[in-house]
Amino acid sequence: MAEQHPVIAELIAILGEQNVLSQSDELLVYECDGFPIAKGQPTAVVFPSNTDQVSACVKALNHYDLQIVPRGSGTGLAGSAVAYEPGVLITTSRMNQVESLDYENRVAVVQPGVRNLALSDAMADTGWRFSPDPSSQRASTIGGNASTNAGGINTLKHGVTTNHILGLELVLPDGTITTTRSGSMYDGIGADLPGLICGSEGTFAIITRIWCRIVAAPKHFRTVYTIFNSTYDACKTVSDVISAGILPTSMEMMDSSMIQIVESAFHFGFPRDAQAMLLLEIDGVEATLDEQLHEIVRLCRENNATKIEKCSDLERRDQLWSARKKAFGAIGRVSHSYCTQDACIPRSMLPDAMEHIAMLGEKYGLKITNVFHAGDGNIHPIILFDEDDPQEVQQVLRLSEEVLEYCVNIGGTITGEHGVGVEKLHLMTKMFNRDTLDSFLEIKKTFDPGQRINDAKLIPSDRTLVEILKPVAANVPGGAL
Amino acid sequence: MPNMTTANPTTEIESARELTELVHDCLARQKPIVDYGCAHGDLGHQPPTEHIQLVQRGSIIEHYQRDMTVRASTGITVADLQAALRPHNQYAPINADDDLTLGEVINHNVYGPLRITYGSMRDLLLGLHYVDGQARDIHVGGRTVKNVAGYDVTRFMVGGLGEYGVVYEATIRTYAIPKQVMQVELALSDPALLDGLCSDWLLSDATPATMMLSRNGSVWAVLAGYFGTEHGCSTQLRNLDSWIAGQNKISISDSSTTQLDAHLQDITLRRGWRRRSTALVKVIVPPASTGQTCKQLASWQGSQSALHIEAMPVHGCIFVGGDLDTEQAVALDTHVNQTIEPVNGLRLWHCRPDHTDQIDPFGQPQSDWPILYKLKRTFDSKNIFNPGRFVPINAKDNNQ
Repeated sequence: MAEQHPVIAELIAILGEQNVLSQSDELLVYECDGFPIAKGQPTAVVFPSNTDQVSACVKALNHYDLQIVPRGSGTGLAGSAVAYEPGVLITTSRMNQVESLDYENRVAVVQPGVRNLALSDAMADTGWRFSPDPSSQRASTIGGNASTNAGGINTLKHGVTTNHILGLELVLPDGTITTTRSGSMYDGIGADLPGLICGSEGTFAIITRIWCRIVAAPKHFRTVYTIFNSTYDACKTVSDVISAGILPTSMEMMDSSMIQIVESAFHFGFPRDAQAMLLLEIDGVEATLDEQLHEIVRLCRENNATKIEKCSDLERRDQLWSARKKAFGAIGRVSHSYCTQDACIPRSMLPDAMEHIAMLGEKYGLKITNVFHAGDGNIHPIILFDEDDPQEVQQVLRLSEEVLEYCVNIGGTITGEHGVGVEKLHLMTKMFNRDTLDSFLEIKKTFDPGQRINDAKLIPSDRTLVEILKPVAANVPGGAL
Repeated sequence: MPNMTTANPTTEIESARELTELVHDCLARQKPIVDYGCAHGDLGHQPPTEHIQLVQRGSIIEHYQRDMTVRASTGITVADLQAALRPHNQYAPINADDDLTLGEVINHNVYGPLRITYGSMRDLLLGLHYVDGQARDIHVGGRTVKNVAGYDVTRFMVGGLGEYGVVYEATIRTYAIPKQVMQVELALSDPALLDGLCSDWLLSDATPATMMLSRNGSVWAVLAGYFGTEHGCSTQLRNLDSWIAGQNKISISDSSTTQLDAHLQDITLRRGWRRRSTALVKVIVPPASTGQTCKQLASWQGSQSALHIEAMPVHGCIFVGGDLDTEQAVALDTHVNQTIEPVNGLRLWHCRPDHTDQIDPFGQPQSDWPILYKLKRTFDSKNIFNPGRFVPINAKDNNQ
């Protein structure tokens, strides 16, 4: 039996034996997050239940040459919550208390391990909700959402996680506990520190408490389901709706191959010969919705929609959204291996971009299917391949990189919502100039001079080199979209 | 404008290259670069006596009309920005006075009653270019509406008082100009009544697109705006009538249909006192304490003329001030501090009579300031951007 690292005894002294995992078989499940290509077994996994325990663990770890890796429920899609060099995972999933719900000030105070949906469930029937809705919301934690600045389907109108975070309590890499602007205040003095920390993928500090803005849940809505004979027309509709000044809650799109995959799996009744499906939803004051709906329908018709279904019925709406949400799961029926990309482009570029990506798929001889947040310009090309074919695997990697480079060249970004993690570290030089990358590293070192916390995630490090092997035997990255 | 006891050279910048050259030059000469903006010249500690006064000119670089985003050099004024967007039936909902530059809006986190609907600058900004304290040209964010690549320095810069770098280009969201605005004036006898009503109002079908509480003499009024088509606006007014009938605490004193420009102009007029006052302080409290705080602030008897008070109740933001002398301002500061202390409020003096140092412009140090101080040293290690304005000059020595 391998000798245990001396820090484990210290961690057990802090947390108790039941909150420290250190046996190899126990650690297996923590080797990766939602990005299963890159794996690394941690030295230990710890489960603190309060901020003081997090601080004590961090202080103990500082006596050893071990990375500190914050982790929520491990649903991240870019490899941020994995220890690729010797390190300990500090998992906040047991810090899962909704500490207060203040409806008068519209603020919820939560521990980081509260699941996204659990917060909205805690406010059920009050008319309030926590707006960010990543597809992982049943499992992902609010700490993780803040750490990755998670998006979701409703973000088109209601914003991403950072738009709903008022303040944060943090444990810094030296174990100090501090708080950004917080309480029930919607504003602070000086630069926007919560804004900087949201989306920093756990590279600055461990988030231990979150002040969340809660908002009125929409009461009235209209859903539109539209079929097109060309992807180009569907994408142009998205752009036309946005430029007409209408701001839907969400505008989601599936291309022809995805429609067929979903239809084969779930039999929703979508036409199998459809080239594209657009699912739109608007919300707001009841009396204003039909006017917007009318304009959306006009634009769909103008762009040659072959079928338009309007709905305000809750049951039908749920069915339509279920089709969207089940799309990703259906992919497994047609391909054992798939690689999901996450780029964001200016919305007006969608028609050209989809054509270009299809062309790239043909160039590499690979099938690409698409289901994505069209209204945000947040595309998710899903490349289907055979992982047992090493040449095809290499083609997938080259194709992915070419897709992302194309997106950057047309004014887009390498990641709209999944994050950089370790997956896209090598692409950061395509997004940012040298000076900007240097400045990012300097900011990181301001919080973490010893580069002890989640080093070489999100931004390239001058201390740690993470090499990920793509792909491994398991499925290539998936996760909910 | 900053208190310039000696004539300081003014440098106009029109390009990133000019800006990096200026910063290089100032680093070599150890000469501070100062830009407090036209409406915030008295905010924070005064700049060093000798400095370079920076002025940026700006224009639209590209308006991505179909994407509803615009990229502009940050020296552009709000008036010019809106004028360029208007022919395309778009606008930037930043709710700032016309003569402010976009850079000043970003540096000072300027927002107004439109925040209910569109958020503040932190929600509108998509990308920034700035020159840091090493004269490096830094590009963060981008032009897409979602982007999680790299650190979100874009948001961090909002409210940074120009101490972390000189912002010279920004990409922000634009929105369609609403077809019509229903402007409604509501009278209420006691502003504290609003505290119990606001959340209910936001849950109702009568949630306004803009909301502003102000005092005119002894009369408190809420100005609310509803956006939409003619039908949409009138429906929302009916919804408001129904909601008011249900709680019987406030009443509609006036309503009229207008256009967005006129509505925003009305807001600007109502807050015009801020630019004319010798004393102005911004107060931040939990939203549900806004009305009560306004009421307590109004009870101050320190000057013969009534204080101006204006608030954005949904966000707990209050501006209070008037034409006060130093002694009165110091007394007001005490009153403000006593008023907000029970609710852990914050206050930020925008203007102090004669820049009196009897009033600390920022109040009690907050828990995150030590990190902000450290970040200042990272972004601007030679301390040449607005030095001493917020981050103390000696912050490095005492490790604050």
